[in-house]
Amino acid sequence: MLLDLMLGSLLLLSALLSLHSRNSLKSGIFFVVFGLLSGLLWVRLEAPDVAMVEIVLGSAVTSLLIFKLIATARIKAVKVHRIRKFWAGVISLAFLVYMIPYLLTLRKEQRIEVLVFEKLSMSGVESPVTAVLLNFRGYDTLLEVGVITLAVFGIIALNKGDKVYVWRDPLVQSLSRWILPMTVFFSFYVTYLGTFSVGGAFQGGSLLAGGLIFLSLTGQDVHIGESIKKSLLLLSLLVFCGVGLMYAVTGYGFLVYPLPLSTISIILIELSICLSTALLLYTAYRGKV
Amino acid sequence: MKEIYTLLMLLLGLNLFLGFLRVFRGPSVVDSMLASLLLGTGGTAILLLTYKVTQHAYFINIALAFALVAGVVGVAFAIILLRDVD
Repeated sequence: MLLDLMLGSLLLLSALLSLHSRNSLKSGIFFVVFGLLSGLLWVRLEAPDVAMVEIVLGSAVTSLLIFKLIATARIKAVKVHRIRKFWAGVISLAFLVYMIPYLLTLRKEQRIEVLVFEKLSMSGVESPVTAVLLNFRGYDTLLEVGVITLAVFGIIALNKGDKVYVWRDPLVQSLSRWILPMTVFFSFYVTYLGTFSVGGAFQGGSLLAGGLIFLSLTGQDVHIGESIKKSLLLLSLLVFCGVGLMYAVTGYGFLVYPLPLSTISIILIELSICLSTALLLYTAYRGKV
Repeated sequence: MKEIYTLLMLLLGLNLFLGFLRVFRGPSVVDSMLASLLLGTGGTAILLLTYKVTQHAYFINIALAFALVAGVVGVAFAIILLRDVD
């Protein structure tokens, strides 16, 4: 209890400080601390899936993108209008005020978890989160994958050849080379874990992206051809749509998996999402293919 | 045994608090960054301790993911923000 209170207040403080630090470098550091503390808080709230996403994506990969943004903003002096900040605050506050009575009056039967656990045996996977993501609400996830892909293509299109940040130090280079195989192994393991425990394709993909970005920070790169990279970017969308359409043509309906084939379909889609997410985030970081 | 875990958890919480203070006080940006890495280590310890208390194996996975990405963030900070461009 005391720990939760401490984590919560530190979380709030770090959010405030990351927004209002005078030094932009310190804002970046407080953003990292914010991601870390919110991950811990999700663990304390017994939401390990969200905690893993928050730690891997929110605290690590997003901070890498934010570091690059800070480095660019120091050169170009980006300013946000006060009125825009104000509206963001007002909308967040209204959402909070709307959500609090709703969450407090929600009855146990109305909660989605009852429904999910009832139908879990029909999904082909044992993890309730993956069942919702890729089976019950597969359509939403498909659209999310599409949004990420489109966003990254926007980033590639807007790239004006920004500065590349590398440090060709032999020590860091060999460290990144040592760490990458472990990251690759662990990211596929996390993706596989998604079928029955805490984990999933997006978490695994972001971990892989972290390893790749580390490699690129030391001036190295994975030597795969540009055309392969480009097709890997589109792989998840292709596999997802392909699997969906295949079942639509054979008469089950779009993204409705027949029970005996559902596990293998979900694992296939998860693997493709893992690979594509890694490449997409890596491309988003580098700004070019 | 349970009391020891609670006590350790509180100590780690205190550790997080003091680390946060160091992140805030600085004095230099490098100190802040190193202190935030210390927070990462403390967070990993809390995750592992949570595993000990709850016996849910997935906390170990989260802790491992945490440990893998924490180092990357530190190095990336140093390379992107502290070093002049080659």
